Order: sequence, then C-alpha cells, then structure tokens
Amino acid sequence: MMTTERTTSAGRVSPRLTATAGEWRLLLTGLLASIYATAWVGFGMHLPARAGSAVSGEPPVADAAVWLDDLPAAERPVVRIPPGWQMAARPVAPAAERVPVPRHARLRVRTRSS
Amino acid sequence: MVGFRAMNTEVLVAVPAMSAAEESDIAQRLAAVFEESERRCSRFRPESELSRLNRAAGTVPVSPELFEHLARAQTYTALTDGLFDPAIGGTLTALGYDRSFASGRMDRPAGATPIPHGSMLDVILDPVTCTVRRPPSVQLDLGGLVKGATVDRAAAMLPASGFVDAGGDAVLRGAGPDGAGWLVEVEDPRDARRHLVTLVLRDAAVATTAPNRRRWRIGGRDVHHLIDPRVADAADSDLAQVTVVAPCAEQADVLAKTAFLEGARAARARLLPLSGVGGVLVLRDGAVELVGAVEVSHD
Repeated sequence: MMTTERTTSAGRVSPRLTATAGEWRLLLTGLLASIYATAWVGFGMHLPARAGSAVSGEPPVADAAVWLDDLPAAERPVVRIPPGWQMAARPVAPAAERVPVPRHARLRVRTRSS
Repeated sequence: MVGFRAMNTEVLVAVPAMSAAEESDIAQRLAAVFEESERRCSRFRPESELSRLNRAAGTVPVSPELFEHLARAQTYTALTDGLFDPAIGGTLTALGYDRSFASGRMDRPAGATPIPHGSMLDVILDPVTCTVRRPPSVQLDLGGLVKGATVDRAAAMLPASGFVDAGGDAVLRGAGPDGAGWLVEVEDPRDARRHLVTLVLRDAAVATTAPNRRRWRIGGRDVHHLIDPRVADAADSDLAQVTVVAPCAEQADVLAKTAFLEGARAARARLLPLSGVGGVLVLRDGAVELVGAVEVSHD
C-alpha cells in the first residue's frame, strides 16, 4: 500500500554556508586548473599556422626534421647509436603523381633518305 | 610540332619552349625560307634561277645566293675528289629523273643512254662579277646541297632549343626537351616502319642517304637517284644506307652522299678523322656499323 507523507517548511534543514578545509582545497585546485587551461588555449590560438593549414596565407614553415642524407657530407654530424639500435630508414617516397606530359617530351626525329 | 611541305618532302619544326601559336608562326617564316630556296635553286621549276642557268650559254650573272651555293658545291667536289658532284643533272635527266619525284610515276619503257658529263670543277665562277660560265656538258643539280643549306638557314632562325627536319635532313639545336639530347631514329632501309638504332644528338645535324625511296625502272632496269659521277650511272654501292651526324646539315648531306658512293671501307676512312662527325653505315647484307662520334640511346 502506497502512503504519502506531508512535510512542512518548519521541518527542513537549513543550508550549510561553511566548507571544510578539504572542500576549499578542491575548489582552489579547480579554479587554478581552469585558468591554466584557458591560458593555453588562448596561447595556442596565436601560434602561426602550420604548413598545409587550410587557413594559411603565410609561407609554409620549414619542417624542423632533417634527414642526415639531406645534409652535405661535410655537415653531417657523427651519430653514435646504442648497440641494438638502428638508424631509421627514410620512408619510401610515394609513387609520383601523373602529370600532363609536356607537349615535346617524347619528340623524336626519324632520319631517312628522302 | 608543326609541319609543312617543301622540296617534295615534309618539313617538321619543333620548338619545345614555344606555344603552339608561336610554333606555327615560326614555321610560317621557315616555310618562306624553303620556298625561296626552291624558287631559286630547284631543277624542276623551269623559271628557277638554276634552271635558267642550266639553259644559258656563255657567262651569265647570278644572284649572290646562287653563287654562294655554287662556290660551296665546287669546294665539296674538290674535297671529295669529284665524288660529290652536282654536275650530274644531265645523267639524272637521261635516266628519267627529269621532274619532281613521284613514286610509281617515273617508270619509262626506255631511256636515253647516259652521256658523259663534265665536272663541277669545270664550271667557272667569278666572285668579282658574280658570274658563272657553265660548260654545255654540265647540267647542275643542287638538290641535296641546297636542302641541307636551307635546313641550316632555317634552324638558325630557331631559339636555342628546337629542330628542323626536312625529310630526314635535320638540324637539332640544344639538348632536347629534357636536356638529355634529341633522339633521332635511323630508319631501316628495308622496312620503313622500323628503325635500326636511335642516336642521341645535341647541337648537331643529321642526314641520311639511301636509294630505297627514289627508285624507278627505265629500259627494263632498276635505277635510283644516287649517281656515281665516275660511271655516270646509278651507283652500285656495298652500302644500303648511310647516315651522317655533322655540325651542319649541308656537311652531313654531302658526307652521307659521298660515303654511300665510295662504299663502306672508304666511308669509314673518310668519316673517322673528322671532328664532330660520326655515322651509321648499313651494309647491303644488313649489318649496321657505327663510325666515329655517335652516341646511341639504348631505349
């Protein structure tokens, strides 16, 4: 059997306005984290666009990575790698895209008696 | 690449750096150069200056252009011990080659007996008065020489990279569209659909001589247009075809013709010592020989 119980305002517990020390620490930590995150987001929005960005109107930024064999022989640093390690191989270049063949690329002359 | 007809052959002009419109424009100007040469030096145009000279008696004035051709022809005749000799026009006419060649329409049931002819060295050239005195036995045919000279002149009007090819006599300027040299296929004289070897040329000219195309029958025998002045008849060579690479088309043409007439052994000896000259000799048995400075593509 269902029953209902009517309560009166006089019967409610009034809200507590004080917090424990642990609760204050938690609140402060959250606040600092929010400020930190907001600052990073704002900072990131002012970084220059990366190469390939759809919105980039500026010259592409050079890739910071340089392959050793891209450097002139005299400028290549001596790299010692721990035993068991090996140098990374340069990724194989993807197949060249087909481009329109220049009009004269396959020009040949036929010499004959005439 | 743009083409036009001149000198009874197809002339091709290519300038890789030019647009199609620019290429057509320069081809038009080159066509005018060919037409002017033909109008002046064709043996088959009765109104040409050369035809008038061939009909004239005594000493006659000629244009500086024709005089230049004749003077160089005389030099080549001397340099080749008379093997290259434009004074063979009478022999060609006697053999039936008296009009612009048309395959299948030159045959005759009978022909005149070739008559001994004079030599280009018998022609008296006076550079001071720009006059020529031609012995009656000399009928001049400047065909190959003028074609080579015209190709040279036309090629000089091209930019640094491009070619002019007049039926196998070609000047190729520069190092080709990709800088690796122009590719020049040497036709197989026994099967025009095939080529025997591909040459790589840079800033050079090439010319080929063979009796496979301009052939006809007269009096029951096969003849062709390569006349041996020593016998005043169609040459009987041990070569089927000669291709010569040289600094200019005129020189290539003269050397190819001379090499064909003198045969393989003498041709090797003639071509080898010459700077910037090489050749492809095709013997009648089908053997192919490279002589001198020729670079071959192994594509």
